[in-house]
Amino acid sequence: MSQLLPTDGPAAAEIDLPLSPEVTEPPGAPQLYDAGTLAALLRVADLTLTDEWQQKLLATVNDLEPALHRLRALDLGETPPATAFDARWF
Amino acid sequence: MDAYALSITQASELIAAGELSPVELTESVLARIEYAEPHLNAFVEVTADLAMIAAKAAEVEIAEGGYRGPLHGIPLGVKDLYETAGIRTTSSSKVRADYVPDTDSTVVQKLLGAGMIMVGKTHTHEFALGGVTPTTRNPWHTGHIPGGSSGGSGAAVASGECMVGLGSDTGGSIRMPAALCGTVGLKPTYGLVSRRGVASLSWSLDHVGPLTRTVRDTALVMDAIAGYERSDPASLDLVPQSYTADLDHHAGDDLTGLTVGVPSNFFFDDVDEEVDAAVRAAIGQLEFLGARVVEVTIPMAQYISAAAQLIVRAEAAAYHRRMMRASGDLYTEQVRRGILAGEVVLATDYIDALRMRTLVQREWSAMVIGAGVDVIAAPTCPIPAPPADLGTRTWASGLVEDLGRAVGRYSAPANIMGLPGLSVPVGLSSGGLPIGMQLMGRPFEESTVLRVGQAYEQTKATALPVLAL
Repeated sequence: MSQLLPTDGPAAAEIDLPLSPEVTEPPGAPQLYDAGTLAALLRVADLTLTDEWQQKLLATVNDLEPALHRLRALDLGETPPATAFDARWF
Repeated sequence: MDAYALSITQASELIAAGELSPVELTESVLARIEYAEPHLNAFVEVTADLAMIAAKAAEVEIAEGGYRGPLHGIPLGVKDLYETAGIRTTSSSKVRADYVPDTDSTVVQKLLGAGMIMVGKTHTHEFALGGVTPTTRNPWHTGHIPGGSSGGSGAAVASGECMVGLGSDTGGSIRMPAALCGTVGLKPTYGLVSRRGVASLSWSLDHVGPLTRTVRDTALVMDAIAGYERSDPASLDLVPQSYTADLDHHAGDDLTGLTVGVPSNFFFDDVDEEVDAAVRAAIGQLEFLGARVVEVTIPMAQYISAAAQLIVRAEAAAYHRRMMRASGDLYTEQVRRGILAGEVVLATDYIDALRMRTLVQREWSAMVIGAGVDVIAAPTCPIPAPPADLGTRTWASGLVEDLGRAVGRYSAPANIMGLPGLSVPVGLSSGGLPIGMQLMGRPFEESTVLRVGQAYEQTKATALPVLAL
């Protein structure tokens, strides 16, 4: 029976993390990631990528910028993060 | 009717009465798989031999008076993110093509313990990072996608290749394929069902749950899989309840006393006209059944998807950190890009996204409590299943949207809030593709969501058919 694993193709080209239409770049928002910034961050992450892959990744991280701008524009005050840690031992 | 086309409720009654054997049912489902798989490719691997061994054992056990309950002898498809002892668990990725776990994930363990017969592992969008499932096609129209990431389970359940398909849902991955394939799909409340042994996409947002053909079938599965488990840090120790008993308790009741909230923003923004009409007609049915319908405004809608994006990217990058460095070339390109992007999200931005989640939860709960709402009803997806080559759509608002992204645009709120979200079929588009309505309840109020879903389901003359290909 079928044991096909995925290959790249037209239908593989999308990621299931859509931003709502309202999440657009605020006017005048600075560009957060350029080629130089990305290269520096990848060095910090100890991640070696070819030039071609750095270009591909740059396009993807630029898609994240509207989310980052929107997040940073919000005053979160004393709001704690939504995380949980259970100190009991197993 | 062929045995594969029965609901669990129907099949289990026949099995309990000795009128259908697990062997007959499994043979029927395996024959259906053999027929449908060349068109759908819903399965990574079909475990036919193991299924027949289990079915024969179930037949003997039941004949000897050892009937375990309504899931005994019922065929199960397991999303390939779920670990299965001795059976490859690939996450539909070449990265894990040869991974064979030693133990079953908790949900699989519980369902096999209830007597279910696993017929195979269903395809996921690679590592659950996508809403397309490019390996698999939609049984209503094989030129279209099944949705994702639990697309294999959606296609398999809708086409009669199994009666339950397990799914996982980080950004809609149970509800989307349920809507696009015309099945029921429940994302339970965060913490209700253990995720132990299921490959993670984002620990903060991952949920696991079933896709089935009827609401009652979903309740039957939830009765078996809900429960506390310490090794899942999100798991909560709550008093167990029976979802089927609750449905039985309300059998014959209408929806008087329940309030349905209909969003005036976000969920009906940039929505396909046929989806809009079908969901609003279904909401009209809920009102006809006695529910009070009120308009609600979704709070902080513009922040929800932004927070989800950052949380998923950062957590996925952490999960894949070692594998990405060892086997980066084995990932499909877009999944690799999506994961790598999380490597360069700052920790402060990630933590602020988790703080935003807290704020959104407060605002959402205030909205729900303030309006006295029991469930919010909205489209599951803005569009029916798009073609396999995707493409874009230009909305009246001017938004030009990639269709692969559009399918998940309404999913994030239930994940960010951890709320129960049930997708139920509400009709077909003019192109013959299913449309789903999403019912989002209060936390741990699965019973209410299922009750509303079943009440709607019972207004239809027949359930959606198991499909001819």
